[in-house]
Amino acid sequence: MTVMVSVLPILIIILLVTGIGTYAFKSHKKRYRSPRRMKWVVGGYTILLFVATVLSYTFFPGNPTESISFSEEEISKVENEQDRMINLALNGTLPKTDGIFTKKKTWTFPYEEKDLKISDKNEQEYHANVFVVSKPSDDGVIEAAHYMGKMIVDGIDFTEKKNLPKINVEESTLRIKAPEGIEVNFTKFSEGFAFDQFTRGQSLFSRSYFSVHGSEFILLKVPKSVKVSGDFNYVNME
Amino acid sequence: MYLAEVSSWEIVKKQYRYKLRSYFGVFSSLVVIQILATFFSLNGTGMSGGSSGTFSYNVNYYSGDLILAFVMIWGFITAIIITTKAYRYDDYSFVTNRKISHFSNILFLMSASLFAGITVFLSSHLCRLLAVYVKHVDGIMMNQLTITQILKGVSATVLYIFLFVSIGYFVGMLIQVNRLFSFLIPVGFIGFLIMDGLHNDPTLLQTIALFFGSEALLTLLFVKIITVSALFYVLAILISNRMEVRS
Repeated sequence: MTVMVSVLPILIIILLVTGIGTYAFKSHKKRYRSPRRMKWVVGGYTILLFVATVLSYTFFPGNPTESISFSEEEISKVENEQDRMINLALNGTLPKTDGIFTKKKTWTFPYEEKDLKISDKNEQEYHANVFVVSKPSDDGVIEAAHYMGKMIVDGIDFTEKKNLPKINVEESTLRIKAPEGIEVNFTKFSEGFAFDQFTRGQSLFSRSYFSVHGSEFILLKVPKSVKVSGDFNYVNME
Repeated sequence: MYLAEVSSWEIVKKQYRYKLRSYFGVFSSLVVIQILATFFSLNGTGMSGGSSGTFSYNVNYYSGDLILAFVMIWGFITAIIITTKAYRYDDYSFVTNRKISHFSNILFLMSASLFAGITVFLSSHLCRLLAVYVKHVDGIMMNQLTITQILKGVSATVLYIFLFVSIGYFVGMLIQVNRLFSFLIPVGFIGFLIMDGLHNDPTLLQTIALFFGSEALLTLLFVKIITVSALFYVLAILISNRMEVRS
């Protein structure tokens, strides 16, 4: 059944081309010129296409993706760099985040307790790595920062669309709440694979719909004497 | 010694002009095929979606891929039709020989491919416009092509169609030599595909498509397609020499 459905368009094309071709040729033999109606149809259709293309470019130009889109190589590089940095941090060293992660928001909480628990009870469908740095002194302040890597969907950067988590400190517990969910729907248009082959260096089979979901982490700087418990990793900053 | 010497090239040109007028039905069928392909494309040519934590996305794709695929099949069938007896014998209204007839056919098929290639690009924009108006698709994102990129894309489209046309011409000529080929060619083709897919890793079509589709330089794609097409035309001409002479 599936085979029949996939073959159906080809059969329709064969029937139409053969039918129209034969009819046109026979009618030509009778009159020794192509039927006037056919000329009008082809001419009219061509004019319609020209008008549609002009309208498509002028009145409905679409949202250009050129300025904000990334190539497959760029996305692969971004993803690898994000993974490399997260892995380094999980092993205890947080390198400089320039260009790979952006600090999206910072919080400061005055804190005089000796223990701090990092809660994950409210983290529904949300997990961010938490890295903790012990400050050299007891300044009575917990500094939290949310870092976000680029989030690219099908070559388009959606980092700015992503909401931020909520962080607060209550009774010696630091709570990280999941950000509000967001759903993005969009449509992409391409003139066809023959055009893509020479515009963005995508060959016929490498036209994959590449995305990187964007890693994120929370960096906590806690006073020297505060003992932290929960799901986190201590790191040294480079 | 004749009163008026006519060169072969003059006859080729005359036949070509004649064919442009008399084979006009080819363009009518192109219009029907493109309209059909445009309507099929209105449902979108693909979609993808995913989610990451609290972020989810859905992407719909509209493209001219289906239109080009339909037109390539159109080119293939059109070339086969042109090799049929009814069309071939029509050439004898002129003082001609087989070579002249072939050259005028190739010129006509080139023109048809050129027209088809340009209209494929234009009809992809008709499809986009219809998607906005009929399907009420908002916020379509598209690559802003430069004039050079458009010209390159149209040229590649024309070349792909011309490639299929040349294959069709060769296949058509084979069938004209022996009707048995009209059965053997599809059976052989499907048989090859089945054999190729037996190990769950079909490579035949992919290898062929990659040979052309992975080419990033238009000049090289041009060389590849013209060489392969020329090979098919030469084979078609050689095969046609085995056909019986019209009495």
